[in-house]
Amino acid sequence: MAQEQVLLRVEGISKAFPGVQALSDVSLEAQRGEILALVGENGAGKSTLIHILAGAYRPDAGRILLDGQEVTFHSTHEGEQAGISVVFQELSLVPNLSVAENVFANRQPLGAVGLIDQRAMNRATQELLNLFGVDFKPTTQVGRLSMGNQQMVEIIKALARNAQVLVLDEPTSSLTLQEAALLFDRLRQLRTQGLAIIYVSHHLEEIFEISDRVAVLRDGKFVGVRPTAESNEHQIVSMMVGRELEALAEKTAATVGVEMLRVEGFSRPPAFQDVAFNLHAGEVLTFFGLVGAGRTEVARALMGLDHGATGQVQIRGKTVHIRQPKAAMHAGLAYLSEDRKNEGLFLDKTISENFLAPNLDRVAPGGWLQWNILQKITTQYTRQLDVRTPSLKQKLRNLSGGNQQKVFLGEWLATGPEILIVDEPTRGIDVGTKQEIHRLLRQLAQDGKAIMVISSDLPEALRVSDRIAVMRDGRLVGFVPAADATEEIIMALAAGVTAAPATAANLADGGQA
Amino acid sequence: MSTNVSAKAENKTSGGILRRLFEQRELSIFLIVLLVAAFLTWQSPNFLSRANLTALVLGLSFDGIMAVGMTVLLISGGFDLSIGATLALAGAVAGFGLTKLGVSAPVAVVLGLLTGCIVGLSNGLIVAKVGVNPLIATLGMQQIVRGIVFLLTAGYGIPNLPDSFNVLGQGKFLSFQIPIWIMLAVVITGEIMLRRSRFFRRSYFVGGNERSARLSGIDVDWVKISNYVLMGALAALAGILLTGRMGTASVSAGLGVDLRVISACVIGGASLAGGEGSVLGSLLGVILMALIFNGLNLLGINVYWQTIVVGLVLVLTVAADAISRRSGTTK
Repeated sequence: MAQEQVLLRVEGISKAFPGVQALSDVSLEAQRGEILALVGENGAGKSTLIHILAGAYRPDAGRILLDGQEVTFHSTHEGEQAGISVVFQELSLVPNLSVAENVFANRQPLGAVGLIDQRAMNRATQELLNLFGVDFKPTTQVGRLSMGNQQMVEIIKALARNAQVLVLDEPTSSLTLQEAALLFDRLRQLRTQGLAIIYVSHHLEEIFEISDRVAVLRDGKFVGVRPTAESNEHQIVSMMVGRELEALAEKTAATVGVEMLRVEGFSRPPAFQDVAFNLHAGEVLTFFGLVGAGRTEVARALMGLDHGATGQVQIRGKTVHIRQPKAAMHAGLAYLSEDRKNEGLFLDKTISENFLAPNLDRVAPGGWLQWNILQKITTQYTRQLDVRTPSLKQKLRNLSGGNQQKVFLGEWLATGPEILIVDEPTRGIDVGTKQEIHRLLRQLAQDGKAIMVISSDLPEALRVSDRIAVMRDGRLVGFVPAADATEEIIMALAAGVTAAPATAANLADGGQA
Repeated sequence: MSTNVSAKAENKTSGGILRRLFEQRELSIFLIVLLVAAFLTWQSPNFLSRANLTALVLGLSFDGIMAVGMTVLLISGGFDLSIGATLALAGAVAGFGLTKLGVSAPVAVVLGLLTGCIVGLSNGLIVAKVGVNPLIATLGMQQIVRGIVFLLTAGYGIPNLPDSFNVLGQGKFLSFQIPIWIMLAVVITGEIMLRRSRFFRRSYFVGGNERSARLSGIDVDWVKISNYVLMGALAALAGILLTGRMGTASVSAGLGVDLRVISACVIGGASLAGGEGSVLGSLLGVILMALIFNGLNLLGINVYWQTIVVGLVLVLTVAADAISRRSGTTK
């Protein structure tokens, strides 16, 4: 391809956030009339890169060239004006307004007296809709459209701004197969019109279906780019996970005890379907999967946070029907949400008060709070978990993410659970504390707790688990004993690449340990 | 990392004891109350008279009782604009029972209290189960309840209530009027319960972060509903005492009480965003507002100034709080 084909060139982009080097020296180019897939594990830096392209973040180093000209964006607005439109995973549409109003948000054509020219706006929108061959009208309320059509509106909105570069972040995550197929047709059509389309996705099948080239990021670094037609899925997966494994020496083999939790035929469509697994005392079972695979939803249904799941749940061999977190706690479960700031902790309250929340029954045995009991358990668990704070009266907001997570773990351990479900135990936590938490999870398993970890961090899953359960699109697609697991096997299962024979066999016996 | 955290904390404490004391809202309000009282003692010889002080305390008893319920409600993230109407309705129901149905005074009291519980329960169910915003739900309830008061009393109120009932508002015990004793009992119980009882402590978590509270095994809906019921019951209690004191169930009783009580609680440190507040602080807020009314009267200042001053005090305390908070969290 000739040099003038290059429309967007990214050179040496770096970006750091406190504690994380999100991108380091990434260079990439996208050509006119191509669909460039951008892939990488969770946390590889894809999201940071597209936020930079959108103008939402400013890079620490490096530059962006659009059509040979260097551009700098101070806001997403400037990015759009220059011709780069990003469609993020969360749609930015206003459901109560019409399609036309959404497409022309904030830049509606004005009529004679400075009022919005409704007719011109609808006419222009209709032209765009015709181009896409969609059957809704400019005056339709966006909230009444299907998710697929809303996604179309979002893309049309980007095109209405004369986008030259269209960045799509996981565009099919909420679409049905038919809707996705229609979207792909439209993208191919846009490609012939000379747009450069950057397609970010976890789903390898999609990438092989739609893209011309695949660029891979790993740990914030650019690994390589290759023509899709000349690659296969296994090559791409090994590029994605190619990091060297850290030693697993810390893991001491736990003695697996009695079956604590057995789940059969557990379904709550569309989030997850027909999930079956068991969990033993002394075991760490990690649910790995890509974001949106349905792992958190399984945990929430187990805790009685989301209702309407069907199937059987047994705790210590007894069938339970849990409809409230309180009941789950009585049954011996504890759940640490992935979103600890909004669902778990009280940031404006002190460490002691946070310990009180899930331990009200223990601290107030007869209905009256006994401050000395609270003091005792708070001291005990903050010491055991090495929470670093000058005082137990410190507000949680003033602690680091790692210490917040330790308080979170501590307050739930104080409830005396037999089954501990920890969702993304180390998300947003510095490396040092991360290892402490991994050690702690192993220690808890050794002490006889049954532990279910939900993680999108593959090295973490390999390090802490005895077994790894892989979920994809709401289904359990395989169990892999940690001893046999490699990043490649797990990633292939999670991304839906043809499974290796060994893992298929594991699924067949229902994942019994 | 550990040094980082402790350094930050040391910065916080280096402000000294004085600063930490002033972070206790109750203390700063208490000092303001003392200041205002000292000023009034200096300016008006009548202020410290026994007659003035008992009138003052009796006058604030009704707001004091309701402030306890409102504090709990605000802490759990709730809000009630219907307490003035509930107060009037409880008095009207008691009066209706006494005069039209011929029930005895104790039965009339129970009827009035039950009425308050029913109004509170309705508020609670609408807010917690249906999910209507507390402002709208209780604003609607205010109008409905006030309408029922008019229907029940044919728009005129119910005068000439029997002495067996009026004794509640007019009688004395150990030389203080009964409403004062009841207010003290409610306030002390409320203060202890909010600090020490498991049940009331839940409100802090519900108001602090509802989603976290739910995940901590707290039945959020139940906490909200019972707090509205408590609020309704306390408003009814205030209504019965006030009706007894006047010997008449008045249709206009409790007009403007809702916002006055909420203002007092907010002055005392309760937050409209939930999660914060104490009964003691709210009581001090009620006392401060009563002192200001009383002082303006004693000093012979035009009554129209009263609402202006109260409005200023409300905005100023909350503004001071917002400013100190902002300087406290900037890093």
